[in-house]
Amino acid sequence: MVAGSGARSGHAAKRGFTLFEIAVSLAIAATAVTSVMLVFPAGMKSQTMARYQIYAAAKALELVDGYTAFHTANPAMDSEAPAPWMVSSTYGNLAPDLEHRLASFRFGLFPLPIDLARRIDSDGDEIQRILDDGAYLYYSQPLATTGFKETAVGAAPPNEAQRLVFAVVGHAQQNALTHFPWKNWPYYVPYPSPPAHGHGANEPGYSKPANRTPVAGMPSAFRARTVFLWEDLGCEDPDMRFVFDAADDTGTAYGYRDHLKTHDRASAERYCRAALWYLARKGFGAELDGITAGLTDWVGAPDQAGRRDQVRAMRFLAHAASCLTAYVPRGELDAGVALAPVAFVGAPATAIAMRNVVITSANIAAYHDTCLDFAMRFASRHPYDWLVPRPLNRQTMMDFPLLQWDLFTAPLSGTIPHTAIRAEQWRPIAADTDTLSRSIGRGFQFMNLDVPSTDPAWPSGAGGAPFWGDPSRFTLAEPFAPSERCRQLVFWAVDWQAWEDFETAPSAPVDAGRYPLSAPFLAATGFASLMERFRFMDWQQFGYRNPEKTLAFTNPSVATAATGSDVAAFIAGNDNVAVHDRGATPVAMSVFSGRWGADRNANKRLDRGPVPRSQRLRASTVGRFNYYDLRVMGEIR
Amino acid sequence: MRRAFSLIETCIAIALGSVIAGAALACLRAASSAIASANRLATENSCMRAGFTAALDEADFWQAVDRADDPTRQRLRGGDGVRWLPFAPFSLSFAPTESQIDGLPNRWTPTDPWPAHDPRYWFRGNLAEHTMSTDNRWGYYENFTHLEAAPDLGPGGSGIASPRHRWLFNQMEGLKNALGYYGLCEYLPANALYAVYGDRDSAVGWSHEWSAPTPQGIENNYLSQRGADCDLPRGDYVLTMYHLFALPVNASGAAALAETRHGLLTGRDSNSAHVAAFETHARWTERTLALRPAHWPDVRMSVARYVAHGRFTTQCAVRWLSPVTGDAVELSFTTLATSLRGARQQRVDPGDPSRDLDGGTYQP
Repeated sequence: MVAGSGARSGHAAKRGFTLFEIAVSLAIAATAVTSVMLVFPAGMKSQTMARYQIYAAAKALELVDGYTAFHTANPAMDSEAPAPWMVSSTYGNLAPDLEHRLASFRFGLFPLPIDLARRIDSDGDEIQRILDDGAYLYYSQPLATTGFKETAVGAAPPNEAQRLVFAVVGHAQQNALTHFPWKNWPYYVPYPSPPAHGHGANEPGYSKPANRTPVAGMPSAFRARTVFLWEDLGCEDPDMRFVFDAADDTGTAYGYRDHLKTHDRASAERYCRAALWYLARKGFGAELDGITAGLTDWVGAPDQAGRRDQVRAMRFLAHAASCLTAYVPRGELDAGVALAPVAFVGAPATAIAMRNVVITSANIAAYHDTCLDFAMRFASRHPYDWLVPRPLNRQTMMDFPLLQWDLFTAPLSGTIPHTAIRAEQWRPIAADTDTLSRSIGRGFQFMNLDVPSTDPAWPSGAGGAPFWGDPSRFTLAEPFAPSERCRQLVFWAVDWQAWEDFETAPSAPVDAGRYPLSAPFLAATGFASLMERFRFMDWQQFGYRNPEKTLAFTNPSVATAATGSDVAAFIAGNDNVAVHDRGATPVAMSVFSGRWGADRNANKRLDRGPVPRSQRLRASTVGRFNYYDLRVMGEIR
Repeated sequence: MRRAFSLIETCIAIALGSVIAGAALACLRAASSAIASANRLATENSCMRAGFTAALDEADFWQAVDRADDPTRQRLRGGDGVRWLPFAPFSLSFAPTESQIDGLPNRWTPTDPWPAHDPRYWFRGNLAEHTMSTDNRWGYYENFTHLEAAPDLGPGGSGIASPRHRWLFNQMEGLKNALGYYGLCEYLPANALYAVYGDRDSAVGWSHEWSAPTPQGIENNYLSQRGADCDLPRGDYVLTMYHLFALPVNASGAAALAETRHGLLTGRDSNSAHVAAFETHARWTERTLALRPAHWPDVRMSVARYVAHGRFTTQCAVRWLSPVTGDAVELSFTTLATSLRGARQQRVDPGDPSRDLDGGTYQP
């Protein structure tokens, strides 16, 4: 038994694995295999992430390129009003920071619908925190920001880069004012030129009878319009009315308007005599006798007001005298044209007596040179004197005023025109508030109103307090650390186009300041008329309207259309004729707001993804890019 | 004594073996598929990265347009004696017969910053004067500034004038003739006004090439695109609002000369045909990996340069075709890039190895 037991014992030493042992070993093997299998998707994920990082790098490059290179123009839009809440440009739509600049149908930054953005999880819940702070999550248009008319570019090919969503993180910033709503300076006029005038409809500014000077027969662009002198009121110098339009005691007309209509030698000479009257009125003129080279410094030692006078006087004289070159034969003009003194009905006395003046060809050339010299000199020396229009001949970024709101003084207040809705805006401050407050004049569009306006019908809302804010709070010219201007673009990858409603979800909320609202005008019958007055011009107004405008659906029936159906007929686009988002009708307001969604992958078909809206998606962080966020408008060439 | 496996043991062993074999097979297939996909994705990524890098490289160095080290690939260097292509050296293309105007050198000076306060750069024409249908009621500003030293203003303007300021207009005309419209916009300062007095047809009024259609009504071959209603001098924003100026990359010789003086409609009134014309005219496309293995994606990089709405744009695209599915995927973007002026400064003047194409000191 013992031996037998030993034999059995020896056999037991060579026995096979038990089932338990095999089960354990299989479990180990399965764990190992599973672990190895788990590595493969990680490799795929790594490659996918690498691809998104390339997309993000390209998109970041494009955003910064567009931010620095896109033009800042938004012409053909009202930007002046008696109070800032009466025009859109007061608000954020034209602000110079990256988000406001690029969130445009033409510049490629589209806010992701909030309905969709709220379903996205991310590391540290960063996306939701950004949304909680009131910011947008963005997606990009499918193609590069070409600047072309979107509907001419055609349907976009499938684009994986649209799976990127991104946001701007960093501190909030106070931007400079890009438009001063009472007077959208700088004003540019050609030098030399007559007193500045314009044409318009029934804006309050043009309604002052004494200033209303219709001119029939204007050439070309002014044809069939009515022309009004503006600069006398706008720049606080009523004397220039007599350069624009005057008459002597015989009823003979003088000045720019007369020569515009008559345009012969006699009218040119009368225009010159009116300009010479202006010089005498301002107390100089003899200093110009016989000059054949342009003056390169002021006449005498004038103060700021005197310099203004000299700039204007040379501008008018150079313009009027140049007219002689069209009517006086060269030989005669080389010898000189004699111009007698003149007195105008209703005009004030001149500061010095007018004299007989002889003007030669050489004098005219010297006037022209002096006119330009004085204009450039004044613009450089007095940037916050807004009583002299700037030379169109020399627009520079250094002659753009630095203005901001004072965020720590009680705001101006009033009501939205034609409503009882209360509105507020901060008080303005400038780099040189003192000079500006004394030499701002009036705006072109509302030239019958002071700045600020105290007219009961058109108040600027200062109440009894000072209109201007506290100049000590001006910060635009303060030194700053680079970190203060640093913002970060954060990119995530998430297949948001997999949701069933990625095209039918309504647009993210559109700021009301993006609506191209007209300033109030007398003919308006209500707020709706302000909404409908402007022609919406896709090729001119880039900081307005829903950024998704060119993709937005124009018809609620899209919601019930079959997946994959052609919806090109229901996309707002920009065909220059059918404007779908203009006006106060429910349909127009729905299109403006993107209520019925948008063709977000730009393939002109209605797409629905396989993922139900009840399911959340997780976004993976792809990259972060630091950039410099501007407080003022700027472009790089 | 060795007994055989019982039936139950055999069954269990077979079952376990099957599980192991099945798991191993599935694992092998999954691994094989994942590795293939990852490899394909990695290859695509690498190819796309190569295309992306090639596009940025082209944006920086303009080699597709003008290869500095290969005279056979310098299509934009010629000229017809009056008009030149954008990579012609200024020693050839900006060499006027008058060496001095207004007491200043009448050539391009690379170190001249054109400061706005300097009276040399002030525009002295009549900015309210139309090119077409003017009666000169505001006078002849050709008396103050002109291309020519003694322009004949005819009976209306009383004959021969002696303008005092000619330097600026000659610089502008010289740049236009030397570079074409895209280059002109780039070289002139941001606040430039696009008009000069005098052209080959008449000494009176704005040059038609600068500011109005030709009398024959040929569209789009003049700087100003708006027609007779708005034929006023203007800046580059309005100048390029409806038509853009692009750098032609697919033409040479006389065709390229014409294309460098041609606006392309891409603005308000454009349609898909116009955009197609732009693509033909301005987009340079090349295979990034011409000798790739057949199973690699076919990657093409393209670059187009143009100025529209005053914005100088370098638009790049990387497009690849999947060798498996045949699907096309495109990544398109714009980027900060070297300017034409920078590209010219990267290249040596063949006539003077110490100078770049602008006449500045060549710094390799």
